[in-house]
Amino acid sequence: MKITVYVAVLALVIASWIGNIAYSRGSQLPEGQFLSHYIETDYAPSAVFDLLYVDNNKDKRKLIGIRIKELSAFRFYPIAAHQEMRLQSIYVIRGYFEEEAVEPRTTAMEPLILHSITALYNDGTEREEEVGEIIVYRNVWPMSEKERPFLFSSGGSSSDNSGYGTIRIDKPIKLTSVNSRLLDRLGDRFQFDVKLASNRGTPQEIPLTLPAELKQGESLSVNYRFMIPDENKIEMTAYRVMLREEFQESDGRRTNHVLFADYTPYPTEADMRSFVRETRRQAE
Amino acid sequence: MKRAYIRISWGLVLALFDFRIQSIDLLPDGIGYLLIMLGLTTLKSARSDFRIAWGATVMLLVLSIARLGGMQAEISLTDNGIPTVDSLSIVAATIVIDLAMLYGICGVIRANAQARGRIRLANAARNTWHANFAFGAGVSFLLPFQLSHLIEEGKALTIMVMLGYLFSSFWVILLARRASRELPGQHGSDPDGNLGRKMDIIA
Repeated sequence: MKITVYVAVLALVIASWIGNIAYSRGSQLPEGQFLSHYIETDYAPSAVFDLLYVDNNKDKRKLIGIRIKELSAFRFYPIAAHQEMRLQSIYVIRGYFEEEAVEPRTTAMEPLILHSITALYNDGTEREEEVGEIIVYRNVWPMSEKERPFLFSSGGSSSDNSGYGTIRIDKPIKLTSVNSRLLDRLGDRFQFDVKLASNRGTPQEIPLTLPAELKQGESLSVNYRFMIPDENKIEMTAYRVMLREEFQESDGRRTNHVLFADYTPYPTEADMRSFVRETRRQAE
Repeated sequence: MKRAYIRISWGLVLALFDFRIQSIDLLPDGIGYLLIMLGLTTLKSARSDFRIAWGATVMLLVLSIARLGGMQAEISLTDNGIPTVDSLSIVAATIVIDLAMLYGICGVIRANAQARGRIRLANAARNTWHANFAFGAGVSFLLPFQLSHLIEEGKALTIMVMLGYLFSSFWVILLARRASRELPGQHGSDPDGNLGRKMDIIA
């Protein structure tokens, strides 16, 4: 066999090694980080929200906890794997507020807007980490025990990033608005409609124009859908939208019902590779 | 010379095949490499093939001892884990040294066969080396794809080429057995490729 054949094969093998090692390194996050979040939550014991943390599988430094200094009642459940991938894994940290630690509020306070949290690592270090935006509503708590004019009927969400919530009206009320602070941010990528579900005769849904008067026995249905991903590119941002249905009773008293709309990214290997590349590019 | 080739073939059997009960290899590689070295010593020659085979076998013996000492020199092609660059490099280096040993053994057999006019055996030795080189180079080329997964079916392809390499190595065992039958001679016979010609001149 000619020496040129050996040299050519050797060159191919060396090129394969250099290329693959470089590609592999370029596909790994330099260090773990939180995904970007846009979350709305109440500062109340019933509220929960998830934070997603993406970590390089080979990184020995692991996230073990979170502290939010502005929210003394914040606690979290054990960190769980959300999605384990070849080179990176996404972990979910489900936060909640401990009932005994939430101080009662007799009047509503301005919402807190948080952009960073304190991450605690297994090597004993802690670091301020950007998480996006967490809007924490500080409404009156505990809420009054007065009976509400509606009753939760059904709700659900689907893997196509859509969902719905239905309530049954128990006494006549006026639906004045359905809104969220995140609607402007999401723009066309979040769509919802409000419909009146008729229970009489053939079931049908009638689109509502707000404000709308609702009668006892009617069902109000809100359907939402995240129009993500755009152009086949997944968005590595998690959303928790609090769609607040605002009502006014006949005596003028205001009340509301909240429908949570969540978008949680489930990236493919290719999506994750793009995300890592973009992250590395920005870090340079 | 017959005994030398038999030692080499048995040495290759021990070195290439692992029969393990739990983690204990019943066919220790180290003994295999020692047998190959013993066989090569019997065929002592000044040819570069011989030196390459000898040197590579010594290195493989050292690596097998290091493995006994706990060095990680294996990767699994069937689990979903990603090997480290270090472990993959050790496996690739072992394959390259293994190729060098097979190159030397095939070269020695070919030279001896040519010296004794056994052209078909010499051709078989050349072809066996070509097969070894093709599969060995293929494995060396494909192994780093375990890091990047750039080829969708890279793992299956690597397993197939690895099996090809194993079979081509098995041909070397058969080649050594054939050489033991077709190349009779004294212990320590010179496997120099030009020996036949020299002998003719002397005669």
